[in-house]
Amino acid sequence: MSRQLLRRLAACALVSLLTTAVAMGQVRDGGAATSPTIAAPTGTGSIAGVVVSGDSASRPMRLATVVLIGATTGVLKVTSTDRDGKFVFGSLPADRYTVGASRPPYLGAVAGARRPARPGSPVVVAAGQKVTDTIIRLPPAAAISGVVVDELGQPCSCLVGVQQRKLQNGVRVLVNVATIVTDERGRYRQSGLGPGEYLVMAHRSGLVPAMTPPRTLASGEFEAALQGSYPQSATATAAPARYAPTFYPGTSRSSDATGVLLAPGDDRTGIDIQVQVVSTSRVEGVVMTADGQPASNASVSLLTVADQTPLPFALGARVGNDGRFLIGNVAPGPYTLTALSGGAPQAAQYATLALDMTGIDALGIQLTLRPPMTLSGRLVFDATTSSPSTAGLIVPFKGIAGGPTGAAQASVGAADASGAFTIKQIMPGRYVFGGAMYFGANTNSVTWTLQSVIADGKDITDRAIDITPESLPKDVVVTLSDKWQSVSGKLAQANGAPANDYTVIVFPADKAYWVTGSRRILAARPDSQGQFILGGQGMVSLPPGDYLLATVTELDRDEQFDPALLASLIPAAVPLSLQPGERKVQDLVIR
Amino acid sequence: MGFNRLTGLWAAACIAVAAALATTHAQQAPPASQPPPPATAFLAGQVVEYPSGKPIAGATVLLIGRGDPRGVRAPVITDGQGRFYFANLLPGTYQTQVGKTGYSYPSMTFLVRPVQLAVGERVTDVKVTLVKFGAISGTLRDDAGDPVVGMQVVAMRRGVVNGRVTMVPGGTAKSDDRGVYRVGSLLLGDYIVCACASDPMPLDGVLLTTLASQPLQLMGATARALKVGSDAVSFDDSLKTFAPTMFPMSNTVARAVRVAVKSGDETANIDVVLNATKSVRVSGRISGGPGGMTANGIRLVAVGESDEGAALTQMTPMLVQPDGRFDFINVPSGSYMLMVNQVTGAGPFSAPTYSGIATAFLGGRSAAATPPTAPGQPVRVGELSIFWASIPVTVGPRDVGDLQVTLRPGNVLSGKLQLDNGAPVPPTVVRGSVAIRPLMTPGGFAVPTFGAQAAADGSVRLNFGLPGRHAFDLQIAGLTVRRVELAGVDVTDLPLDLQTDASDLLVTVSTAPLASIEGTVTRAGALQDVTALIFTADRRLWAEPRAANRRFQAAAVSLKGAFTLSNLPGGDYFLAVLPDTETADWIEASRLEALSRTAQKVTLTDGEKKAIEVKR
Repeated sequence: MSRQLLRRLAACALVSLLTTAVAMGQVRDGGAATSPTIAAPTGTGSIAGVVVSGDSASRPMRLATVVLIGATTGVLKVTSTDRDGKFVFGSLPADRYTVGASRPPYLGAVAGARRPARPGSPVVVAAGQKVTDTIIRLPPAAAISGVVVDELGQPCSCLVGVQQRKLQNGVRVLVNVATIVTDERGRYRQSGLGPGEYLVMAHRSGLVPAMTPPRTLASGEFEAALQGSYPQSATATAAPARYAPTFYPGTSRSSDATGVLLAPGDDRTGIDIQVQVVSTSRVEGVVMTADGQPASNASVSLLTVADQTPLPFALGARVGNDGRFLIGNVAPGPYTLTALSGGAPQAAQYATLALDMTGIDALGIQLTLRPPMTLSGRLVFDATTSSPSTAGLIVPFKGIAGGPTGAAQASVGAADASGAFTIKQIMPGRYVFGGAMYFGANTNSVTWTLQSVIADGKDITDRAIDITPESLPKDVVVTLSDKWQSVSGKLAQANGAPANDYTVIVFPADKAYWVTGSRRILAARPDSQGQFILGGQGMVSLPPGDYLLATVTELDRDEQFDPALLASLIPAAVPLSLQPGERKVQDLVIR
Repeated sequence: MGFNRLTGLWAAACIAVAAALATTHAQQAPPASQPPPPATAFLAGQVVEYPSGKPIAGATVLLIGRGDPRGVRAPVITDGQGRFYFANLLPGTYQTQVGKTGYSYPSMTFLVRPVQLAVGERVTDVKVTLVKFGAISGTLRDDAGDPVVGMQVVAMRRGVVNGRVTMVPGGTAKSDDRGVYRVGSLLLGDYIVCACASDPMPLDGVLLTTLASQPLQLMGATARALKVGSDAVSFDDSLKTFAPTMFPMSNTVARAVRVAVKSGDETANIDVVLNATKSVRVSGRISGGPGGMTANGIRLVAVGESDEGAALTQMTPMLVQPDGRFDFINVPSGSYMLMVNQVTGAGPFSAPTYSGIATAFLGGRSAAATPPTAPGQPVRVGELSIFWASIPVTVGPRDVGDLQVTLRPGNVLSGKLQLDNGAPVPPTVVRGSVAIRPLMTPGGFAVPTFGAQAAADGSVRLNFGLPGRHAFDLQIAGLTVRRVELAGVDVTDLPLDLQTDASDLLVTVSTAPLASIEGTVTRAGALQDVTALIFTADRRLWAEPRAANRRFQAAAVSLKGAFTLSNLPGGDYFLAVLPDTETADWIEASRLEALSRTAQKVTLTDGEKKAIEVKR
């Protein structure tokens, strides 16, 4: 998913929060009873401040949108700045508030953040306290622009991907930040970028009708041709080629690409790309059923492997009556070849094969269809109060990209009233049971968290498992709980003064959990009094287990998931253990 | 629209051609045993610019052919006189694809116009006409001189919709971080430039993710706010948005200044000044339907000025809740229609859930969470039914809350099909489709009507959402419509004015074909792209031509001058052949009147196959 989309989606989330909450009289859970409105907390505190540009001019920003969120009360307010960039939020109950602002074309920022897109320091308001000195600095955004031409040097109607290398599960992968379509002059411009290094890739889909360079007619050639006399080059032909995704300055391999390093406010022009063409080859073979007959009713598809190109595409073909298939015009690169039997989706059978195409035909491939696996289990509640209905709840189960078959797919069914659930259409591959339990926009997400996943007596919560017909778990028990865990404390300097210009990280002692996006790895900045809180009730709860608590001076976005960083923090980290329902208090001193 | 329509079409055409090539190579290579036919055909021509007729040098010409197992020809770049040729061609069907920076085909209707070459055939006078695009660019600024970022700019020109001259979008662009916009790939003409829609997201996404420092925590905060309920959240009165504004700073089409775009020109400095106005929320509740309302069926459509009919803005709700409550935010002041429709029974029924732009995040952020639960309700496939509502909404400086919208059940038009010879209808009637379609709806947001299948006895039952004028359409293989009666009145090829349920539709069909024309254009000049147009001589039908589609038809004339028109009901017609460059917006009364003066008059009877020669 592109970063642009994520941003957009993130924007949606808050808007949803705003609109929903305002209109909300009652909340409907999935098929369950309605819960009453809880009166909004209010108070006499206030936060006032100013929004200024983050460049040296420190210009006051008029018409900036300012948002405030209370950490424990759920208070959420939106305002905008006046002519002098000033804002004020009144009637606030005592709480820890996050205050942020945005004003295009500047990047959004949070009060107390050292860099764009980083956590800020919560502003603490005691009962009746009036905070007046909040300053939010909006960093100037950067832009990249250029021209894309095709193999003939003509402006290309191309997709341009602006990408960044991101750390995922310890590996740096390319992630699309934005996708732009060039205009009829082949020009593109992407603005609103934060500082950092970017790769720029241009891609044009479809076949190149010819890979030989165009011929410019010589003077007098046309007249001669009408008389039946023309050069040999006029009748030369070539095999079709494909366009390769081309990275700036002109390579189809991301490892050879030149990064574009942007500082805040940069307007980088001249990032021009000529899309490259590559020769193609064929993939040919036969699809057989499990009992050795030609699978005449099947289809095959060849999909680019997701990690290699951020803009995936697929080629497909039908299988003939003799089970044979042919996919032509395949560009070099790694692919996953999948065969799918025809007929009802419930009865579909699959076969997959990883293929690395190098421009040479892949012939004589045999794919044997196998029925997918089905896994069943139970969803239970470990509840201190009354449990909601299990009917309709979906257990967290997903394939992991980059496994033996790429991103494995499965059809996760909802649990019934007894808690029984079934997961169908499981292909062999790597999967994980776990992650945050999100129940949609309702109160379940506030109350309940995933406690454990036990498969045949073994704890596999949040752990990747390889599923094959031989290793298919027989009995899976997924337990949800309303117990919740957190770690909080005070970060102080050696002299006892609050330390708030640091980031606190909590991470599992067991390295098997060190994966990107893990709910067990959390980072936060302390508030003005040095207080920090990690975890909380419901879906944000920190699962029980053994953890390490550490501080860093600065954290790149998602850097807390970098195993190398976590490993380097171990010697200075404080070990702690969280029991179910435990809210651990652990103060830290900077030395 | 994210990218330009014309560019998109061009790209789509290239892809289609590429796909055809791929099939050719995979499946149609002739068996090796057969000797290939002699490669002796010859194709040559010229690329010229419209309207000057000047040759275009340096254009790239691709020859796309089927069935040449040797591969593909290198493209040719036209010489100083715009000329190109391809020699030693196998017999077969070929197509030229011509491209040059900033140029376009004049008509998007018929991109594929093949030429067939026999063994040894020489075709030397193909003429390809291209139009040079224009562009409009400028800067959007607010009243304090700051750039307005992320606003959609639409360049509208006069076009024809259902026989009426109206403003239609010619191209769109978004202002960038400097407030700069550029609408490219514009055909020549006069344009109204409108900074029409501000970004529906009032907040910066990076900020939002940062607010919660992790997406997981943002979702947690969302869930918590939902639990806390209404009063915890407040929008301040100071929030601002930008109302649609036309160049130079007008809020009506009438007072806007037209921008002339000439072929190949970039019309710069079309700067628009926008006033920040209060951002208004429009919210309410929809009731009376079957429940489970989703955002797909709700739109707030700006009501354009009556004459020009331009619908500048069409907003989708931020959030629609399972109980029918809806919210629009960032609505500029103005007059709107709130259009609502809901269809049930069309397919698997999913459980009521939250929907709208706002929920994309909640369900879409799958990296750390499962999708929102779709409680396991049984799939319900029942009889199709439509519910609808349409209410005017005037938005001033204050929030509009508590709009109570009551859905009304849709209406039903029923009746039957009968054969003209009195025989029972053939069993095939149950396989095709019979439909009515609304002719005009505010902002083009159609309250759906649905095609249905006739029953074996010929009876039909058609649901429609919004009362008004509809076009009748029947698509059943082997049957042609001869007469449509409503309440005993002949309304064949006329609009059906439907206000409520009606049960007296009588459609007479025939198993015999309607008339068809095999045409030949003979001409003295070069083989250039022309189109054959045929239209009814019955001027009553010119007012709402969408209701009489089959009496207004166009066909591409092949490079050798052949064209086919079929499914024409008997009657008097005018037949004209025009260059592609002159066929835009042709179905409009004054244009038809002008065409009729020089057109060939043709009288057709049902079932007739007529050969017609058109001289140019």
